[in-house]
Parts: sequence; structure tokens; C-alpha cells
Amino acid sequence: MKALKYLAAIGALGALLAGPALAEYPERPVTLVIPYGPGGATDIGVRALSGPLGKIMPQPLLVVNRTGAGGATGSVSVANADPDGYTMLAARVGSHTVNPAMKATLPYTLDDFVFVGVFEINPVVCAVSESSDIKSIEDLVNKAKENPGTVSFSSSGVGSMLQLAGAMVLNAFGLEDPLDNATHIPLKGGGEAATAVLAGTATFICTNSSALSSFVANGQLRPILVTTPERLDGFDAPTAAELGHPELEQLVGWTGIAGPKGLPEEVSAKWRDWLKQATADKTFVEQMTKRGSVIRLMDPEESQEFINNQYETFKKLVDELDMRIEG
Amino acid sequence: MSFLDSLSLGFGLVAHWQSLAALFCGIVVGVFAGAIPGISATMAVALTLPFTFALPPIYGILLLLGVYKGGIFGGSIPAILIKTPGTPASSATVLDGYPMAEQGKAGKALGMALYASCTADLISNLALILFAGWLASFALSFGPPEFFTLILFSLTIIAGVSGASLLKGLISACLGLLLATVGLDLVYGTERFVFGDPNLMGGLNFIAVLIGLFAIPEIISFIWNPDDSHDKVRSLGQHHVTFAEYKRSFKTIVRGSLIGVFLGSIPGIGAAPSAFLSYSEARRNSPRKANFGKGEIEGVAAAEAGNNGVAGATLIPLLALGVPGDVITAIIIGAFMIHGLQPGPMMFMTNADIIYALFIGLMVSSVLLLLVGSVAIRLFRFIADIPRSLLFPSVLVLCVFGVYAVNNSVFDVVVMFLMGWLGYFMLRVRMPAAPFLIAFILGPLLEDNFRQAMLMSGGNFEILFRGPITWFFWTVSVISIVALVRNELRERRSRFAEEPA
Amino acid sequence: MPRLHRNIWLGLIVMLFALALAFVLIPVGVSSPRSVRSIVLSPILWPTIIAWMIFIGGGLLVGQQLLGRREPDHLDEWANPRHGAWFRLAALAVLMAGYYLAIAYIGMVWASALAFLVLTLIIRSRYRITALIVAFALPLFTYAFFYHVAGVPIPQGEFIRLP
Repeated sequence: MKALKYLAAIGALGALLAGPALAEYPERPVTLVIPYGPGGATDIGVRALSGPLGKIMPQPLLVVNRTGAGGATGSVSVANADPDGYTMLAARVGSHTVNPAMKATLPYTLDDFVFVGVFEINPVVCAVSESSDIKSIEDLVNKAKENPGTVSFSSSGVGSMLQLAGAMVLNAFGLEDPLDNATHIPLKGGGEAATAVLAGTATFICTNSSALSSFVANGQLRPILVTTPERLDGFDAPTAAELGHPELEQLVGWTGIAGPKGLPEEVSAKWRDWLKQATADKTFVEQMTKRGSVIRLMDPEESQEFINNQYETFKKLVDELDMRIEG
Repeated sequence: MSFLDSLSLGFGLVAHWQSLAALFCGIVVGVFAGAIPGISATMAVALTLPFTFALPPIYGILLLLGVYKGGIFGGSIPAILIKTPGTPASSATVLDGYPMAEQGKAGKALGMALYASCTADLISNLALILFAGWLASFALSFGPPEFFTLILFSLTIIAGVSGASLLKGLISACLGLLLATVGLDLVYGTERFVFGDPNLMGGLNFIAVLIGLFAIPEIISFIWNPDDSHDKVRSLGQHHVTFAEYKRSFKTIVRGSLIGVFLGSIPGIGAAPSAFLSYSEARRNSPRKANFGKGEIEGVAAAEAGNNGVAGATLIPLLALGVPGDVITAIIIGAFMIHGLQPGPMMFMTNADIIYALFIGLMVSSVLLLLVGSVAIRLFRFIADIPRSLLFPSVLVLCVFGVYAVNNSVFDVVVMFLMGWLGYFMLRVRMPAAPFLIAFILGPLLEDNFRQAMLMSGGNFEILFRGPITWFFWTVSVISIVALVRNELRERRSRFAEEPA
Repeated sequence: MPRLHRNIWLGLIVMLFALALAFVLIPVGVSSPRSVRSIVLSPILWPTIIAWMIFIGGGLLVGQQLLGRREPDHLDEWANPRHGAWFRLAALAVLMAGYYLAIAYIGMVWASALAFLVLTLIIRSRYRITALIVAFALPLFTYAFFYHVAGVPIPQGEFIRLP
């Protein structure tokens, strides 16, 4: 850890020295690191954004995947990079609020990053298999209460939003000790997690609507809850607020762009402009909406506040349920 | 809408020069990308994805499928020529392909790889078209307990690739299992053998281990005894595959294709295990068993049939259920969705024309692969003529670039170098590398599925015997282990009878 | 050294490694959370099983050799290398370490060119002029491909930045 701090300090010093010399950012191509693999929700969203973004930016944008450890490998590589604006990160709910809230030994914290904007919000939907006799969230919680251990939920791994979401929903609807009374089944990736519910390995799943939309449209999965303030097109399920739990609205997926701590104000301002133009691109918005995302650009302050709020909510829940990852 | 209506509508969609051009471009890109170490078929598909946004859905998806199929075949080119598998799926091709190249039969090996790939591709596509619905419902009955038993059975492959000493093969496999545990624990998210280094948190990169284990030891061996005199043998690469050889391997190719179809239709297994399983089955059934691993053309055919047989079949869960079988199909699902298409049972009703157009396109792709592949082989065969004192330094440089590009990590280069020395050590003590690799792929699957099953049952072992599928795999595992031990004993006895030591 | 001994040595090394794994590496490197409910779910279980399998494997290897069931003898293709083989191996190890370190300073392209040249020197290739050309052409070409076609940001140092 000490070495990391030194590195960070040297990096910050480097930024101070390089600061005034920065002619006109960007002078060379900018690398945008996606901390998840190709084909995932983050990857597709960011690559779709990189289309219009690449046209606006005066230098090419290089989008690269750096996969591993639930987004930690890619995130830490950006946290340790020079804060010169040439290495940026596509931050995601899993890597930047859930994982930091759950894992104390993570090699980075939220403070190591400066957000230039959150551009995509993914509503969260909970669903069960169509063949299951569970018709509502009430049925689900009752089943878990009556026969502890028979209800399970799938996730894309420890420290993913899916894990937290499952526990949070059960907890909100009155299941005590959701970790003991329901079983969390971690799988490798979001696609596998949805398939597990389809195949009957797990009882339910709470994840981004985009990951479930085709299964719901095909009548393979039955949605039982959405966490948006209003009902969601294509998902015939009540909202959390309708069921008396508006606090679950905190449970949303998001993607944003962040740089390492010490990012010059000038770079941040440039990115804000670029994001503003790129997210206004018609085809981009159309593509993302088709996939079930909501395109909403937050400015840096709003993003930071939104992320901090979500982090605090998650952290409280983690402490309450003792979900902390040790070691 | 009747079958014929859909078919003719589909034909209407696909019968344009644009769709042929899309497929053709895809295959060309795939073959060349796959031939570069470090650019896996997955990466090639991911890189092509943005180009499909602007195309009409059918062209876009055909383009991606072309890249996918081309990439899986392309990986076999460097596997045969420089012992550096371009994609994980072609690591089984190394086992006999590289020895063949060493004997100056590179042209033959490449030719057989191509023919086996195309045949398997065709069979796989036919299986997709004819049995998609049936295989898909079968695939969904695979939960963690079924996977666990399937993988347990697949681990018996290790015996087939252990070479002279089964014991050393097993030790090698255990080392592979061990290295695969590095990273974060699946169930608790705690660290295993990470020692505080964030680079290790994500585990060891598969490609880095793969290239480190196969290509780098080759370089080190050459350094041990640098000698250009081999060149004359190597450069005699002008042999072609004869029809007799193809005919002899045909049964193996069909068997490999069927293994590929079976494993491909089950989500989450991928092409590499299929190639190894096909290889080990071919060896078990071949009268020329002893020649496997020393340049047996049937071995190349088996490996390539096994991995290309997967390509069409992974579309079965994708189209019939909307479930991605591997990372590549996950990307292809993304492409569907960007065009507003939702793969799954409903798509057969709402967009049957597109599905049939895809089917037709796939059949055409097997033929195109044959054409593009033959040209590519001619272009790449010159690699066999490069003097080794220049070839090996080039391979080193290419490997460094390639391994870096996989995950944009210089740390992976270190992993590759270290694995290279381990691989060299194993070479010197005659410990086979292939079991290591198989264990490295299958080990995490075995452990994860075991623990997922235990989570499901609350620690009750009975779940591992639920249903006919688990019983089937338990039975065949036991049978193959018994057969193995008996074979081993018999061979030993006959060896002692021949040369009493 | 006769072959017989080599396998015994190997078996002993493997056994020793397995013991180190079971008693040092696993306790230090694998953390087991206190919330583990049953032993079958513990993160330690699997590595421990592997460690003991390796131990047994090593033991069997030694046993097999001692009982005289040695593997059939091969022609040793490692015998009679060109003079200075061990020196060349050491040089290659140093080269690899240097290659890795150089990437951080002068970038991957120039580090590769240097590594190529040094390697051909170690091998003492007959094709000197070609080596010199390839040493620069290959990394440059590969760089151009990865950076401009595949969009992979190949690391560059401050020394002669490429477009």
C-alpha cells in the first residue's frame, strides 16, 4: 500500500509539473479503459458512446478492455496512471460503488477518481422464471420466510451489483438475515446469471433491465419488481415505490467516465463538453434506448454526488447485513 | 408462415452480393486476425462490432459470424507453424501440427486443418438448422451439478495427452489446477495467492499462460542449441493433403464435429475443451495411437474438427433461448439487440426471415472459409521457410506484442516469460504441457460448479447425483478411468515383455 | 547423471514443493473468511486437495523409479549442445528481464528492436544484415497494426514517440 501511495504522490507531482506545459489537451490519442470484458453491458454501452465521441474529439479515442477481479484490475490501472487525461476509465456501478462498499482491501477507493460525468442509467429489474409459482415479490419473500434456504438468487460474482441488489430487495421487503435465509449463487458474468434463473439453478435475479429484456419479451422470465420511479416499458411489474419502498430507487446501474485523482480542471471541462455533444447524438441515444438504458448526462458535481449517495446507501446496507468481504 | 415461406423470405434477404461480401470480409478479417498471436477470435469479433452498427442487421450479423469462424480457423496457422496458438481453441492443434511442421509437412498440416475445419463447420451448421430446438432444451437442463460431472469426465482427456508418462501428465495437470486458483475466490471474493498484488487479483491471463507454455520454451530450446541446419527439413513444406488421408481421417472429423456440436450447444464450455476432447477420443480410437503427439495428421484433423464444430452450435442456445454460450456469442447478442432484435423463441415467429437468412448465410460461410483458407495457407506457408535464427527472435517479439494486447497489461508479459521458463523446465524433465493447459481451463470450471452445486443444496452431496445426466457422466467417467488403468497396465506389461529392463 | 536419478530428483522436488504449498503458501496466500459455513465451501479446500495430489504424484514418481519401472529410454536430444549453452540460457534470462524493464522506459517498439538484435547476437545468426532490418521493421509494423488497426495503445516511452 505504501508503494502505491508513493506512486500516487509521484503521479500528482508529475501532474503539477506537467500542468502548465499542457499545450492544448489532447495532443495525442486518449485511452479509455473498460474494466470489464467485451460483450458486457459496460463494454457495449461505452463502445456505442465511443462512436460519436470519437468524431467530436480532436484526437482518436482508444477504447481498451482490461478485465479482471470484477472491474478492479482495470480500475486500479487507471487509478495509478498519470492524471494527465490520457488514461480515462469507464466506471461502473459494480467497480465504483458496490465493490468499494463491500471490499475494504480493494486497492483503490472512490477518492482515487475524479468523475467527469455519468452518462447512462440502467433501471434494475427483479425477475423469476416463468415456470415458477412466484407471482410477486410478496410470494418470494413469503417463500423465503416459510422455508429458509429454498430461495436463491444468482449474480455475476461477489461484489457485483447483482449480489447487493438481491440482498437489498429481500431485506427491504422484510426478510430478516437475507444472507442466511436465502442463498447467493455467484456465477461468472451477467449472461450466466440470467441463464441460471432460466435453468432453475437460482430462484430469482435482480439486474439491469437490458440483461433481461429479451427473456421477458420471449416469455421466459417474469418480472416482479422494477426500481424506477415510473413503470418500465416492456416490463409488466410494479415499481418499488408502488410497493412502499421508494428507498430501493437507489438501486440503479450506471456508467460514467472518470480520471485519476488530480485530473486538471481543463481536462475535466473538455470531457464535459464532449460528453454533452456525444450523448446528444441521435443514433447513440436510439441504440441505447433500444437496449433498455436511459441516457442521462450528469455534470461532474452531480455525478460525484450521485455516486457518493449510492455508495453511502450500499455501505450502510453492507454494514447492517455484514456482507463485507474479508481478506 | 410455413417453413418454405420463411426459407424463401430468408433467401430473399441473403441473396445479395452485400451479404456475400459481408461474410467474405468477415472471414478474411477473422482468418488474418486469428493468425496473429494475441488477437483471439473474441477480440476480432469485439473489434468488428462497431462497424456493424451502420449495416442492416443481416449483413452485420453475417459479418460477425464470418469473423468468428475465420478466427477459429486462423488460430491454427501459427499453432502449426510457430507453436503459438493464435486463439485458445487451437491449442490442441499444436500437439500434432507443430511436429508435422518440424518434419517439413507444414503444408499438409495446414491443409488438413482447413479441410477438417470446413467439414466440421458444415456439420455444425446442419446441426444448428435441424436440431436447434431440441438441443436447446437439452442445454437448459445443465445446471452446476451436471456441469460438474461433465467436466469431471472431460478431465479424463488428460490421460490422452500425457504422452509417455501418465504420472508426469497428472502432476502437470495438478500444477495447472493450482495456477488456475490464483485470483479472487468465487464464493467469498477473498484473495487466493494474490499476495497483495492487484495484478494478480484477476487471476493469470489464459493467453499469457498458453503462449508462455508453448511458444517460449521452443525459443529457449533453440537458444540451448542454436542450429540452422533444421531449416532444410522445415522448408520442405510443399506437401498437400491427399484424398486418401482425408478419407482416413473422415471418421475422426465427424466424431470431432459431433463432440463440438454437443459441447457447443451447452452454454459455458467453449471451443478449447471440445478440441482436446475430440483429440483424445481420436487417439483412443486410432490404430496409430503411438504416433499421436509426434506429427499424426489425424490428430490435427481431430483438434480442428473439435473446435470448429463448436462455432455453429454455439448459435443454438443463442437463437433458440437467447442465451450466450460464450463471450463471442455474447457480443453477437449485443449486435442483435442494437438492431432491435431479441434472440429467443419469439424470434422464430417474429423474425423468421432473418433466422433463415442466417442459416443460409452460415451454409455459404463454410464454402467461403474453404476458399479464403486455401489462399491464407499459401500466404502463410512461407513462415516455414524463414531461417530459425531469425524466426525465433521474431516469434519472441510477436508474442510480447500479442500477449500485451490481450488485456493491455505489461504484467501479462512477465507472466508469459515466467511460464516460458516453467514450460522449458517441464520440457527438460519430459513433463507434458498439454495436461497443464487442460487443467488450467477446466479446473476453475470444476471447482466453481462444485461449489455452486453445494450452495444450491446447502452442502448436500446428493445433488451431484440428481437426474439422468449426472448419472450418465458418472458412469462414463468411471468407465474411462477403468479403461485407462487397464490400458496402462497392459502397455506396461507388453513393454516389459519386449525389453526387460 | 543417469536417467534413473533424474526422475527421482524430480519426484523429490515435486514433493517438497507440495509440502511448501500445503504448509506455507496456502496458509499465507489464501485467506479463509470466518463466515464460511461448511468445509466444502471453504476457499482453502480446493488448493489443499491439489497440494496433496501433487505430493502423492511426486511420491508415486519416486516409487515407480525405485521399483525399477522406469520410462523407456529416449535418445537425449539435449545432449551435445553448441558450446556455451548454459551461458546462453543465462543471457536469455537477463535479456527477458531487461526487455520487460525497457518497455517502461523506451516503449515496447524500441525495446523489441533491441531485444531482437541482442537475441540474434546470442544465437550468432548468420543472417546479420537481414536481422538488422527485421529488428526494426517487425516491431514497427506490428506497432502500426496494433495501434492503428486494432486500436491497442502499445506502451511508448518518452524516447522517440511514434505517431
